[in-house]
Amino acid sequence: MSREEDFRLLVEPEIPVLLRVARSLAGNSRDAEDLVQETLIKAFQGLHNFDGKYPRAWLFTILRNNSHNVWRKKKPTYVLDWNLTQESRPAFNAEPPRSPEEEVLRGIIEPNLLNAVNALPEEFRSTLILVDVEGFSYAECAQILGVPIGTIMSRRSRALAKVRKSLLKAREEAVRG
Amino acid sequence: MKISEVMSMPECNWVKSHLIQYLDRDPSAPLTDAELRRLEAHIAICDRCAALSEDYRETSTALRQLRTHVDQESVDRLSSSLKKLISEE
Repeated sequence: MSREEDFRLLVEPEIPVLLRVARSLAGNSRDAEDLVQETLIKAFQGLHNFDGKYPRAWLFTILRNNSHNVWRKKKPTYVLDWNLTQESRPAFNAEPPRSPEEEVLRGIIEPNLLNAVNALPEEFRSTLILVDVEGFSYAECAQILGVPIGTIMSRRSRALAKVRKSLLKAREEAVRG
Repeated sequence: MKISEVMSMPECNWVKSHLIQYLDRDPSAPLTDAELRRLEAHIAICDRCAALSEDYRETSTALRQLRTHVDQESVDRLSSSLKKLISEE
Protein backbone atom coordinates (compact mmCIF):
# COMPACT_ATOMS: atom_id res chain seq x y z
CA MET A 1 0.00 0.00 0.00
CA SER A 2 1.34 3.44 -0.93
CA ARG A 3 2.07 6.16 1.61
CA GLU A 4 -0.72 8.23 0.02
CA GLU A 5 -3.21 5.42 0.51
CA ASP A 6 -2.04 4.99 4.13
CA PHE A 7 -2.68 8.69 4.60
CA ARG A 8 -6.21 8.43 3.24
CA LEU A 9 -7.01 5.43 5.46
CA LEU A 10 -5.63 7.27 8.47
CA VAL A 11 -7.34 10.58 7.85
CA GLU A 12 -10.70 9.77 6.28
CA PRO A 13 -12.27 8.22 9.43
CA GLU A 14 -11.33 11.36 11.38
CA ILE A 15 -13.25 13.76 9.11
CA PRO A 16 -16.50 13.75 11.16
CA VAL A 17 -14.74 14.49 14.45
CA LEU A 18 -12.51 17.08 12.75
CA LEU A 19 -15.68 18.76 11.49
CA ARG A 20 -17.32 18.73 14.92
CA VAL A 21 -14.33 20.30 16.63
CA ALA A 22 -13.85 22.76 13.77
CA ARG A 23 -17.48 23.79 14.11
CA SER A 24 -17.08 24.41 17.82
CA LEU A 25 -14.10 26.60 16.94
CA ALA A 26 -15.57 28.38 13.95
CA GLY A 27 -19.13 28.71 15.21
CA ASN A 28 -20.68 27.74 11.87
CA SER A 29 -20.65 24.82 9.45
CA ARG A 30 -19.33 26.62 6.38
CA ASP A 31 -16.19 27.99 8.05
CA ALA A 32 -15.72 24.63 9.74
CA GLU A 33 -15.65 22.83 6.40
CA ASP A 34 -13.12 25.34 5.04
CA LEU A 35 -10.99 24.86 8.14
CA VAL A 36 -11.01 21.08 7.78
CA GLN A 37 -10.24 21.35 4.07
CA GLU A 38 -7.18 23.51 4.85
CA THR A 39 -6.19 21.07 7.58
CA LEU A 40 -6.31 18.10 5.19
CA ILE A 41 -4.17 19.94 2.64
CA LYS A 42 -1.59 20.98 5.27
CA ALA A 43 -1.53 17.47 6.74
CA PHE A 44 -0.87 15.98 3.32
CA GLN A 45 1.85 18.52 2.60
CA GLY A 46 3.45 17.81 5.98
CA LEU A 47 3.10 14.03 5.80
CA HIS A 48 6.89 13.56 5.62
CA ASN A 49 7.19 15.17 9.08
CA PHE A 50 4.63 12.87 10.71
CA ASP A 51 6.22 10.16 12.87
CA GLY A 52 3.20 7.82 12.79
CA LYS A 53 2.34 8.27 16.46
CA TYR A 54 -0.99 9.74 17.62
CA PRO A 55 -2.44 10.44 14.13
CA ARG A 56 -5.58 11.97 15.59
CA ALA A 57 -3.67 14.37 17.79
CA TRP A 58 -1.38 15.23 14.87
CA LEU A 59 -4.40 16.22 12.76
CA PHE A 60 -5.93 18.24 15.56
CA THR A 61 -2.69 20.08 16.19
CA ILE A 62 -2.74 21.14 12.53
CA LEU A 63 -6.40 22.11 12.89
CA ARG A 64 -5.66 24.20 15.98
CA ASN A 65 -2.67 25.95 14.37
CA ASN A 66 -4.70 26.56 11.27
CA SER A 67 -7.54 28.12 13.22
CA HIS A 68 -5.05 30.40 14.98
CA ASN A 69 -3.83 31.56 11.57
CA VAL A 70 -7.33 32.04 10.17
CA TRP A 71 -8.59 33.95 13.20
CA ARG A 72 -5.30 35.58 14.14
CA LYS A 73 -7.00 38.71 15.40
CA LYS A 74 -9.89 36.98 17.08
CA LYS A 75 -8.74 34.25 19.42
CA PRO A 76 -10.53 31.01 18.56
CA THR A 77 -12.79 29.66 21.24
CA TYR A 78 -14.59 26.39 21.73
CA VAL A 79 -18.27 27.14 21.97
CA LEU A 80 -21.21 24.79 22.09
CA ASP A 81 -24.09 26.53 20.47
CA TRP A 82 -27.58 25.48 21.53
CA ASN A 83 -29.17 26.25 18.13
CA LEU A 84 -26.36 24.51 16.33
CA THR A 85 -26.80 21.50 18.59
CA GLN A 86 -30.50 21.42 17.83
CA GLU A 87 -30.03 21.83 14.08
CA SER A 88 -27.45 19.13 13.92
CA ARG A 89 -29.49 16.44 15.58
CA PRO A 90 -29.53 13.34 13.41
CA ALA A 91 -32.35 12.76 10.96
CA PHE A 92 -35.43 10.90 12.16
CA ASN A 93 -34.86 7.35 13.33
CA ALA A 94 -31.11 7.97 13.58
CA GLU A 95 -31.38 7.74 17.36
CA PRO A 96 -33.98 6.01 19.53
CA PRO A 97 -37.17 8.01 20.13
CA ARG A 98 -37.57 9.55 23.58
CA SER A 99 -40.62 9.53 25.77
CA PRO A 100 -42.43 12.87 26.32
CA GLU A 101 -41.00 12.89 29.88
CA GLU A 102 -37.48 12.45 28.55
CA GLU A 103 -38.00 15.27 26.06
CA VAL A 104 -39.19 17.62 28.82
CA LEU A 105 -36.28 16.66 31.06
CA ARG A 106 -33.85 17.09 28.20
CA GLY A 107 -35.33 20.50 27.45
CA ILE A 108 -34.58 21.56 31.03
CA ILE A 109 -31.15 19.98 31.38
CA GLU A 110 -29.59 20.84 28.05
CA PRO A 111 -29.99 24.65 28.05
CA ASN A 112 -28.67 24.81 31.63
CA LEU A 113 -25.79 22.53 30.76
CA LEU A 114 -24.90 24.51 27.66
CA ASN A 115 -25.10 27.77 29.59
CA ALA A 116 -22.87 26.31 32.29
CA VAL A 117 -20.31 25.08 29.75
CA ASN A 118 -20.31 28.29 27.75
CA ALA A 119 -19.86 30.35 30.93
CA LEU A 120 -16.56 28.58 31.69
CA PRO A 121 -13.24 30.32 31.03
CA GLU A 122 -11.97 29.34 27.56
CA GLU A 123 -9.19 26.99 28.70
CA PHE A 124 -11.60 25.06 30.92
CA ARG A 125 -14.30 24.96 28.28
CA SER A 126 -12.03 23.66 25.51
CA THR A 127 -10.74 20.88 27.78
CA LEU A 128 -14.24 19.85 28.81
CA ILE A 129 -15.53 19.84 25.23
CA LEU A 130 -12.61 17.81 23.93
CA VAL A 131 -12.62 15.23 26.74
CA ASP A 132 -16.26 14.96 27.78
CA VAL A 133 -18.18 15.91 24.68
CA GLU A 134 -15.85 14.67 21.96
CA GLY A 135 -14.34 11.77 23.89
CA PHE A 136 -10.64 12.50 23.44
CA SER A 137 -8.20 10.87 25.85
CA TYR A 138 -6.12 13.05 28.21
CA ALA A 139 -3.06 12.46 26.02
CA GLU A 140 -4.85 13.45 22.81
CA CYS A 141 -6.37 16.51 24.46
CA ALA A 142 -2.97 17.55 25.84
CA GLN A 143 -1.45 17.23 22.38
CA ILE A 144 -4.26 19.19 20.74
CA LEU A 145 -4.16 22.05 23.23
CA GLY A 146 -0.38 21.99 23.56
CA VAL A 147 -0.31 21.63 27.36
CA PRO A 148 0.87 18.85 29.75
CA ILE A 149 -1.49 16.03 30.73
CA GLY A 150 -1.45 17.27 34.35
CA THR A 151 -2.85 20.60 33.18
CA ILE A 152 -5.64 18.81 31.30
CA MET A 153 -6.53 16.85 34.44
CA SER A 154 -6.56 19.90 36.65
CA ARG A 155 -8.54 22.04 34.18
CA ARG A 156 -11.07 19.30 33.62
CA SER A 157 -11.52 18.65 37.30
CA ARG A 158 -12.15 22.33 37.97
CA ALA A 159 -14.40 22.64 34.92
CA LEU A 160 -16.57 19.70 36.01
CA ALA A 161 -16.82 21.14 39.51
CA LYS A 162 -17.93 24.51 38.12
CA VAL A 163 -20.49 22.92 35.78
CA ARG A 164 -21.86 20.81 38.62
CA LYS A 165 -22.15 23.90 40.82
CA SER A 166 -23.99 25.81 38.07
CA LEU A 167 -26.38 22.91 37.49
CA LEU A 168 -27.13 22.60 41.21
CA LYS A 169 -27.82 26.34 41.37
CA ALA A 170 -30.09 26.16 38.29
CA ARG A 171 -31.98 23.23 39.82
CA GLU A 172 -32.45 25.08 43.13
CA GLU A 173 -33.74 28.14 41.26
CA ALA A 174 -36.13 25.96 39.24
CA VAL A 175 -37.47 24.39 42.44
CA ARG A 176 -37.96 27.81 44.02
CA GLY A 177 -39.78 28.81 40.84
CA MET B 1 -21.92 18.39 60.98
CA LYS B 2 -21.37 15.10 62.79
CA ILE B 3 -18.04 14.39 64.53
CA SER B 4 -17.53 11.36 62.28
CA GLU B 5 -17.88 13.63 59.22
CA VAL B 6 -15.28 16.07 60.56
CA MET B 7 -12.93 13.17 61.30
CA SER B 8 -13.21 11.86 57.75
CA MET B 9 -12.64 15.24 56.06
CA PRO B 10 -8.94 14.69 55.22
CA GLU B 11 -9.92 11.44 53.53
CA CYS B 12 -12.77 13.22 51.71
CA ASN B 13 -10.27 15.77 50.40
CA TRP B 14 -7.98 13.01 49.17
CA VAL B 15 -10.91 11.25 47.45
CA LYS B 16 -12.08 14.51 45.91
CA SER B 17 -8.67 15.11 44.38
CA HIS B 18 -8.59 11.61 42.82
CA LEU B 19 -12.25 11.17 41.92
CA ILE B 20 -12.05 12.30 38.30
CA GLN B 21 -9.11 9.96 37.66
CA TYR B 22 -11.14 7.16 39.21
CA LEU B 23 -14.21 7.86 37.09
CA ASP B 24 -12.30 8.37 33.83
CA ARG B 25 -9.90 5.42 34.02
CA ASP B 26 -7.81 7.22 31.42
CA PRO B 27 -4.68 5.21 30.53
CA SER B 28 -2.49 8.33 30.91
CA ALA B 29 -3.44 8.78 34.55
CA PRO B 30 -4.16 5.41 36.17
CA LEU B 31 -4.66 5.01 39.91
CA THR B 32 -2.63 2.32 41.64
CA ASP B 33 -4.44 -0.73 43.03
CA ALA B 34 -3.91 0.64 46.55
CA GLU B 35 -5.40 4.01 45.56
CA LEU B 36 -8.37 2.30 43.93
CA ARG B 37 -9.04 0.25 47.06
CA ARG B 38 -8.67 3.33 49.29
CA LEU B 39 -11.06 5.38 47.16
CA GLU B 40 -13.70 2.67 46.82
CA ALA B 41 -13.56 1.88 50.53
CA HIS B 42 -14.19 5.54 51.38
CA ILE B 43 -17.01 5.98 48.86
CA ALA B 44 -18.72 2.93 50.35
CA ILE B 45 -18.99 4.61 53.75
CA CYS B 46 -19.16 8.35 52.95
CA ASP B 47 -22.51 9.59 51.66
CA ARG B 48 -21.15 12.97 50.60
CA CYS B 49 -18.33 11.53 48.49
CA ALA B 50 -20.67 8.90 47.03
CA ALA B 51 -23.11 11.68 46.04
CA LEU B 52 -20.28 13.74 44.53
CA SER B 53 -19.12 10.73 42.54
CA GLU B 54 -22.66 10.18 41.24
CA ASP B 55 -22.99 13.89 40.35
CA TYR B 56 -19.76 13.85 38.35
CA ARG B 57 -20.82 10.67 36.60
CA GLU B 58 -24.19 12.21 35.67
CA THR B 59 -22.63 15.48 34.52
CA SER B 60 -20.12 13.64 32.37
CA THR B 61 -22.87 11.50 30.83
CA ALA B 62 -24.99 14.58 30.12
CA LEU B 63 -22.00 16.29 28.48
CA ARG B 64 -21.49 13.31 26.18
CA GLN B 65 -25.04 13.77 24.94
CA LEU B 66 -24.16 17.26 23.72
CA ARG B 67 -22.00 15.77 21.00
CA THR B 68 -23.34 17.15 17.75
CA HIS B 69 -23.84 15.19 14.58
CA VAL B 70 -22.18 16.37 11.43
CA ASP B 71 -23.73 16.96 8.08
CA GLN B 72 -23.04 13.87 5.95
CA GLU B 73 -22.82 16.01 2.82
CA SER B 74 -19.91 17.93 4.37
CA VAL B 75 -18.18 14.67 5.22
CA ASP B 76 -18.71 13.37 1.67
CA ARG B 77 -17.39 16.60 0.12
CA LEU B 78 -14.28 16.49 2.28
CA SER B 79 -13.72 12.78 1.57
CA SER B 80 -13.93 13.48 -2.17
CA SER B 81 -11.49 16.36 -1.96
CA LEU B 82 -9.13 14.20 0.10
CA LYS B 83 -9.16 11.52 -2.61
CA LYS B 84 -8.65 14.17 -5.28
CA LEU B 85 -5.75 15.67 -3.34
CA ILE B 86 -4.04 12.28 -3.10
CA SER B 87 -4.69 11.31 -6.71
CA GLU B 88 -3.24 14.60 -7.98
CA GLU B 89 0.03 13.90 -6.20
